[in-house]
Amino acid sequence: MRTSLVLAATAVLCALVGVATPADAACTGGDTTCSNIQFTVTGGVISINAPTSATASSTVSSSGGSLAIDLGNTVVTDLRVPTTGWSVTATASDFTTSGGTIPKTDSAFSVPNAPTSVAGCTSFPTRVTTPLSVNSSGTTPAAILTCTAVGTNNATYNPRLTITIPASSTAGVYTGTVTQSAS
Amino acid sequence: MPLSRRVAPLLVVAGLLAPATAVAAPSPSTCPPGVGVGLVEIPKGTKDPRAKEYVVDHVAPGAHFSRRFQVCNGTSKPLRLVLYAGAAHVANGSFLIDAGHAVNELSGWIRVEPSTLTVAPGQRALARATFAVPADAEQGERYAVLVAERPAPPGTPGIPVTSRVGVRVYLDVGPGGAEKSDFAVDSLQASRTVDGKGQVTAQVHNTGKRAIDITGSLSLRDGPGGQTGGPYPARLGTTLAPAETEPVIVPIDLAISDGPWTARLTLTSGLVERRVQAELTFPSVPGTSAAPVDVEKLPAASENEIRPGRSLALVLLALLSMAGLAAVRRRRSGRTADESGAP
Repeated sequence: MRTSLVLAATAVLCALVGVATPADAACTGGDTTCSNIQFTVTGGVISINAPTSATASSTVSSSGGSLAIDLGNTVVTDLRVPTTGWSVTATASDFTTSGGTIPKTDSAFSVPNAPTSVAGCTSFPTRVTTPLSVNSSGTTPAAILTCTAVGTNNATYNPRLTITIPASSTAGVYTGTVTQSAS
Repeated sequence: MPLSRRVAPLLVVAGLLAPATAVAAPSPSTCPPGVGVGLVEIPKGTKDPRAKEYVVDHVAPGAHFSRRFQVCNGTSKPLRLVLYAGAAHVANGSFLIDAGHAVNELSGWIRVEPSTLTVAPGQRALARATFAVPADAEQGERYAVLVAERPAPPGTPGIPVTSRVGVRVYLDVGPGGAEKSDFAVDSLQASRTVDGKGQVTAQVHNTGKRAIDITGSLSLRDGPGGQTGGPYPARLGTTLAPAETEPVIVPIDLAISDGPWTARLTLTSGLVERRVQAELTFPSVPGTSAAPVDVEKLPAASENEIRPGRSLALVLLALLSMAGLAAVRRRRSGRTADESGAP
């Protein structure tokens, strides 16, 4: 009778391990011997799909002005089964031409329009609509877009780079790099 | 003692289900568009649900450990990716990845291998981040990101746009147990938006020593005529650094009556849950807010619920019940034999 009881109980535990989250299942009830063991989960990934280049559609007079450049539809897909969601930050480098530099702090980012093709994001607590300038290290000081989600999700958005051209800038074709980062 | 004998084989079973070294790259069919990244290893002792998405750990100075992660090519062409540990920080309610290949103290402790690789379309590859915490590391939580970067191809016309995606790292260093994670809801404020909808704003204050990622919802009860409403999900998804205070907004997407209502807000971050209650009256005039009100703290709902983390307690309960049942059966079967009666 005792033997059959133990076997039955083993089956009960296996069933519970099956439904519990891996992290919980791995180490329960104050078991201190399991802390060095790691195991694999078939975890999902978070991904970003963005156009690899953007083009300024107009020329700005060297006496100053600003340029708004849409970076194109960007898709973030989160298959990690997240508990909170994700956020996007953006960075810019200096823009340079022969004999001239537009400092990175003259770049700003925004997400002017609401995301489209949204699934799973219950809200976008942060969506920067007034261009947010990058700081001296080249990063936006806050996220430009955040998605709240409990579970897999995806959203498409079109970030905008706004460059304020200082008055009396050297005339020329400026080059620089921008980066979008999701986590 | 009989109890521990029964539990021991069960843990072996759990161990067999979770071998330390087995790695099977998940099926390529789940590789979403673009460049993807995700953890494939979770430390066995972690109960924090965030640890499935992020490296969330507490370690002693001098600790060495590693985590494997996967990168994934969801495009139709081979992707050359650059992998590295990047600097990050928490500010203004956000987890922020720093520009370029910026290095901070934590990212300097992490080595990512390989540092570059080319992944075929639709395929995945495994990488490893090895953490070496110096023996003289100061106590405290630090932030970094395991980055998979898709550089703009060379010769890209126009402005090259690089995209990066990362696994956040929240590493707490110190002797003994993890630093305390905690937060408080300081007040609730009822508002009516310009289009007449209700909105509740909670001021959330990170009172612990580690960054928190908050989610939650609000329910309304005891309204006019006994009405109830919700739960309405909180609009946050932000990350709060220690000592930071940020508003958490709960939109109520309807023209809710003024009230008064009893509002109950439940917020969680990892294993920490806080429930508060307050009486709220929404202002009648659109575009205005009532004064913030103090909240009454309630015990966490999870204290009254059965959660997966308590599965061992459940098993023990099941064992005890079965043992009790068996004892009753033995007594009954003994009595049956003695009395030669029907069961």
